[in-house]
Amino acid sequence: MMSPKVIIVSSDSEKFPVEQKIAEKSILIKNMINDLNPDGLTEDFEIPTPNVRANVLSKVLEWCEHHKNTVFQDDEDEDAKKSVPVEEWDRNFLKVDQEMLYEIILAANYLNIKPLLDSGCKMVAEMIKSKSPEELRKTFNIVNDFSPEEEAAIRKENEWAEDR
Amino acid sequence: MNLQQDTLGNSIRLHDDNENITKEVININHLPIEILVLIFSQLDPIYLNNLRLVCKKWNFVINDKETWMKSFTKRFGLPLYITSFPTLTKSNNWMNEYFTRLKIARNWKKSSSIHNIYQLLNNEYKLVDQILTDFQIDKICLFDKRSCNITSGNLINGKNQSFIPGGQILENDDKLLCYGLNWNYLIIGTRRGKIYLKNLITSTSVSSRLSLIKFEDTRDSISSILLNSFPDKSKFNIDVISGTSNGVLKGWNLQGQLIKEVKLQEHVIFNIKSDFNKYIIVNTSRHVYILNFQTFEIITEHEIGFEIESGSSHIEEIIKDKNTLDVDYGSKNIILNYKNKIKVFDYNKVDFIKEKYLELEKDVYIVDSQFQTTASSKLLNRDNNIIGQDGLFYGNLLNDNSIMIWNIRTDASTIKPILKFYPDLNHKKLSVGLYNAVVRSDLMEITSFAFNSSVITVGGYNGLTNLYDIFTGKFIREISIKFPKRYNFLHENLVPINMIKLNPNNHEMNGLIVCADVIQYFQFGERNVISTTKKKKLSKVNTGSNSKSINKKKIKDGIEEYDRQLHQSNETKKLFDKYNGTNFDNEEEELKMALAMSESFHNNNSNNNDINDEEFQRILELSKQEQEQEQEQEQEQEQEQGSSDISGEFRNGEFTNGEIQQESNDIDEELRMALELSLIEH
Repeated sequence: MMSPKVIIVSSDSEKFPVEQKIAEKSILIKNMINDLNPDGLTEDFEIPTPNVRANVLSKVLEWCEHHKNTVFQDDEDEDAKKSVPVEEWDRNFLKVDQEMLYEIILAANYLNIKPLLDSGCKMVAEMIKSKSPEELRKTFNIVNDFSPEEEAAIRKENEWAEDR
Repeated sequence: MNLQQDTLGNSIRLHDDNENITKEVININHLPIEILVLIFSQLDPIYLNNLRLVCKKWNFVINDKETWMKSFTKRFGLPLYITSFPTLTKSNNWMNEYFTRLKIARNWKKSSSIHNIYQLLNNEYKLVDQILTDFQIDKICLFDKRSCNITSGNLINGKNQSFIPGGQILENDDKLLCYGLNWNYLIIGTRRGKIYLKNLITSTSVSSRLSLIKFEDTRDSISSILLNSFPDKSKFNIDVISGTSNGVLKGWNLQGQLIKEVKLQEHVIFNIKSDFNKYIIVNTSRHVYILNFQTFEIITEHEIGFEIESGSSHIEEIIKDKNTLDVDYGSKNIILNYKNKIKVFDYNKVDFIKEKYLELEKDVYIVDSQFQTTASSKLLNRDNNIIGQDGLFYGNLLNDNSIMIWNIRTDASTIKPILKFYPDLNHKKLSVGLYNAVVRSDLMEITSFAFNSSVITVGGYNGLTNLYDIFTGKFIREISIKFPKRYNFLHENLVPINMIKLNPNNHEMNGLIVCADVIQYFQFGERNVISTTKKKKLSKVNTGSNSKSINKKKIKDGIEEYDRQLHQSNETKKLFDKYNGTNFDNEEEELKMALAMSESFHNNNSNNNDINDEEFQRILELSKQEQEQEQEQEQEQEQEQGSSDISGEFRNGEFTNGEIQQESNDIDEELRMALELSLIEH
């Protein structure tokens, strides 16, 4: 008999049967499996993810599948990771539209998949890098909700910091 | 496809893509705040100010005081009641400050390190009274008040040493009471009321007396003297302020001309402080005086509230027992430390001086007091608007082996330490003999300390120095490494650490431990030069393959591993290399010191102005120096051979063989010059 599968159910009720090893890339799912099956999986196990839509979930699982055998360093030191650039495969994988990128980030956050969350955040950070506030508003479709006075006040505050 | 390009952040296509983006449902601002923080934290803190201008939400994320205060408290163990502390970023951007602190804390704690140990020969008793350091131009200068010798060299590796002998400055039965030193001048005040100014730039070993100016005679002992650290080039302005034993305060320019003079009360002037711009702060046994620097008029005369007394009538003894005085011009606070008392005088309103007072328990007294190491501009200015209200730390070393850190720039009405702790220096681990000697002689375990906005360094004997967190007093690491064998006096005697110096730029993680005339330069984290090239490479890696970064990491790990190994082997060596039963006889030790001192004075007095003698000493010293250098060379080469590939690579970056050779040539050159000069003298 095949080993039991983990069946992840998206918010729009689509079912994704995956190997336990792949599903456990998500710490949330891993903990859930361990908590509810203290003796290990004996049969297929269904887990609903009410926050994640099918198209996003399939993306996330694609990532998990690819990184099935990747050993991520359990680095408690967040600063150390900061300087490490996004890995090539992740980079291509995350070349999606902004909305999808945010949904992947949200899903990774919810499912507690730290390496994916990190890669996603780094991709967004790269988009932010070396842009003016005006360019940033355009890139991210943000409305400037400051009054001219408020904006001037921040500019003035920033001036203090310039000379250091 | 077009949209996929967009996520790369290609700003050239920005306008084409704009229409597509507007169709999106989920916007970046739908992400929860903690994820925005994650994203922003990936950026160089420099960008963050810019991001505040995008929209209210981003501004909030980056600058919400409460959120960041909470994170601060949690991460750095900042006591909750503290709202004022010294900022590292000088900004009003909390996120920036937080991540900068995080980075610096990490570098102190985990990063690889570089250590150089060198000797700056100054006098045969290895006494050091003052040290000037400039980390920016890589220069160090040592001064000993008994011989008045001055030695300078490169701060990082002790190369390019030069020596200015003190020579015979004082008259035979006169005695140095006070002095001041900056990079260009040495000023000395004596018991018989003489003031000598020595120009260190024009001083050479030969012409040392030519560059000496003697100020007009006063006859009253000069009890205190202050030299401007940044003197006026034209030499017209007041750059020297002297105080006498009968309360006369004088302002001089560097030509030795008396510019201003004022008579305070008939008391010894103990301390003089000035910003050489607006204020002069002076204290006598009962009063603190605030004077106008420009006019020398007394603005305020304020009673201290207790008396600074001395049982002796000898001026040397009286001065020895005096208080210490520090002034934070930025917040207009005067700090007076005396025995077990600390008093702060706030002179923001000169006709209404506000006082803060702290009296320590009985039998506890203050051994050493200082401001945090910081840029000198910080002492002169305060900017209430930046994070932590631009706080400034002050520290006291107490005779019960504890250190007390408090913030001078708070609104609190009392002096409330943010940290009081008892560092454990563990001399026992270094050497049982050493530890026994310290205990038996009832000496303080702590001999020296220095601190900045994030860490405290605490030193004991024979180099032993630990690093602690400024907010929590938590042990971070041991900084000191074992002194090489060639400095055998550091292995055979009990030698307190004279001074520890940190870089005034609190973003740099380097400093010095000065133990007799041997100096350990330490540096954590990457050097600036290295880090810029690394950054450049990294940005290339970003677009290219991953293998480079893996290599980099390997190298980094290798270096760390090497450092660890070095440390471990040092540790084991330390364990083996004991003093083998050498007993430190307390009395003998003291006697030795006393002998050394009397001898040095004797030397000073009997040295009948014989310049040739001086020259000879100089040459001797240089040849000694050369020997040292050679030994050092050998050792370094050995070290290089012995170390692993990676560290070898690393070391090569630090000092190439060529450089070392060059150095010994320099010394040859110096020796030759000294010889030639002495010939000319004949």
